[in-house]
Amino acid sequence: MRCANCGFQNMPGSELCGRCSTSLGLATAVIDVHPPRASAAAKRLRRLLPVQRAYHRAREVLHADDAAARARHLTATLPPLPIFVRLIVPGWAHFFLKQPIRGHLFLWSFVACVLAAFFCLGSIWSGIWLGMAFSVHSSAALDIVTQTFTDAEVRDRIVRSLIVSAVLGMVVYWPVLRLIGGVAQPHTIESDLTPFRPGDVILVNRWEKPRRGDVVVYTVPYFGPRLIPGHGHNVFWYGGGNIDRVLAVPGDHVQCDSGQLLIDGSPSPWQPLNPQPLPKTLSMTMPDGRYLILPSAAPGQVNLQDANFWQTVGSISRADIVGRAYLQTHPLSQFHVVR
Amino acid sequence: MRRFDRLEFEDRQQSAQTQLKHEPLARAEDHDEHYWVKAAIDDRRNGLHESALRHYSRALEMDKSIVAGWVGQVQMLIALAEYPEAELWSRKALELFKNNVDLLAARGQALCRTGDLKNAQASCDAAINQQGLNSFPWVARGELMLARNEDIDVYCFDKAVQFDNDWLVLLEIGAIYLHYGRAAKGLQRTRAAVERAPDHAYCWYCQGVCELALGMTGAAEKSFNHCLQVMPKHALARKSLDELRQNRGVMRGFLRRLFGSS
Repeated sequence: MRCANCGFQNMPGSELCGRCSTSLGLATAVIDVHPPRASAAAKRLRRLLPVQRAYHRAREVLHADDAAARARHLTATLPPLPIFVRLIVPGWAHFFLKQPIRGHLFLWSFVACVLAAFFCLGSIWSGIWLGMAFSVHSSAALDIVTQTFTDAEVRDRIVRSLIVSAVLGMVVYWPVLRLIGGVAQPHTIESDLTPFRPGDVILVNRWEKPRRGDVVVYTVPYFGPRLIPGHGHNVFWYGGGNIDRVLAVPGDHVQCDSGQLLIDGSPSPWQPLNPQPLPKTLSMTMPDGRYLILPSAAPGQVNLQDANFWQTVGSISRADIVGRAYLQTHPLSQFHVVR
Repeated sequence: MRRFDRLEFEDRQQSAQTQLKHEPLARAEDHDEHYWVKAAIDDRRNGLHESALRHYSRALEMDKSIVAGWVGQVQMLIALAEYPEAELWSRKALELFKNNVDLLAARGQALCRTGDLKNAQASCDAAINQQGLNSFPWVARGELMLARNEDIDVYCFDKAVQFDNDWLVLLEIGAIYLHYGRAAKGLQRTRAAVERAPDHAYCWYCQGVCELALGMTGAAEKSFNHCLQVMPKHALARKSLDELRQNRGVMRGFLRRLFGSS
């Protein structure tokens, strides 16, 4: 029997080639002959993000540097690429290595800590839970690194744990926290702003441009008694943090006719959070960079019906608007989407 | 009757792919594995890598002991830029055909494209050390040298051409140079291929691609036109020519020449 690989003439009845050990019954063996294929999207992604190439290049560069022998030794602790990439989610690498119990333990501990941090947003507990989530994540990563290199000394393991935590912090947590700081910044209500109570926590999206109808958190720079022009006497101007609905955006013409709000001549579908203190008469065009937000939730102005007063306090500049409030997370009994 | 071989008759202008497509399916079942390997090689020589891959698989469905089928599959996966898949498949094939020269070289090439030069070096070295060398291990080794920016790539490629003087070897070397952004060196090899096989559309197409990468739009247009003369239904050449005509302009040509590959 002639070997298909090396051409060696074997004795009849042989199962393997005597020279190269290739199976001689290969022609009729049951083997899948269709190769795995990459999808067009995967190929495009590989072109855009050549992760594999960059990984090998980094390894080569680090290994080529003779001056940094210690660093080279530490980089040898990098696990193989498929495992290394999966360190981004705690437990994923364990599932990949067929260690489902550890995988479930790390993953669900992490999820529990993150959820606890979410529900405690705005309090010190949020930071504590988030720190615990980070610890679980870095422990999962360190567990993988330690499993990959079992012969390392204790000092090496400590250094590795520090490196793993630092890399995770920089690559995963710092960008995520930056993102959350932009789109889900917790804001604690400090005073009685109906319908919210002191201590309520609201998530605020700082990156979104305010639109008509959005409930926004904003700050009024002045707090205390102040003479309102045309009003004739001092009123208590409520300053500080406030929350209410955007009724008009720059360029809108606002009219208030016997308690009904008209924007550019049409009745507005939006009302302030507490519609009672709407001015009887009001007519103004919103200047550039200023939004109409009537401070209906703030205490102290309920009985003031003067149009001049509302023009002054209702025109809020873009810089004073913190962001759009979209979710109340605390207390849990009040968990709801802010509309 | 060789002197009549290059006469252009209407029916001879049909591509190999078109001929295969028109073949009735009932007849296709009658063919043996050697027919499909030959069809795959024909497709490969026409630059139809996807079709060649299918034909190699078809040949292997009939006989899994055809080494050329496994090697061809890996080479086609590399040509289709599916490098991790090619590496995986070459490993599987090497389990079946231990220390096969071409499979080792193909694995080296796939590893080289994924950037794992260390393992690629080991694979190429193992291929070169085997008996029964041909041109492919030298092509793979040349690519490795090119990836490492070592100057002996030319020596390896010349060695490959010494082993096999076929125009396809030259063209594959040209494609490797193009992949690593050395279009000038690639053009040199593809020109040699065109000189050897001016009646093959794929040679003209590759030459056009190299010229285009160097910003030689006029020459590229001529090459694509030659390609379409030889094979009027060459879709890639038609597409490249259309793009070239749409992007024509002195400034664009100048910029392409300025920032084109070396």
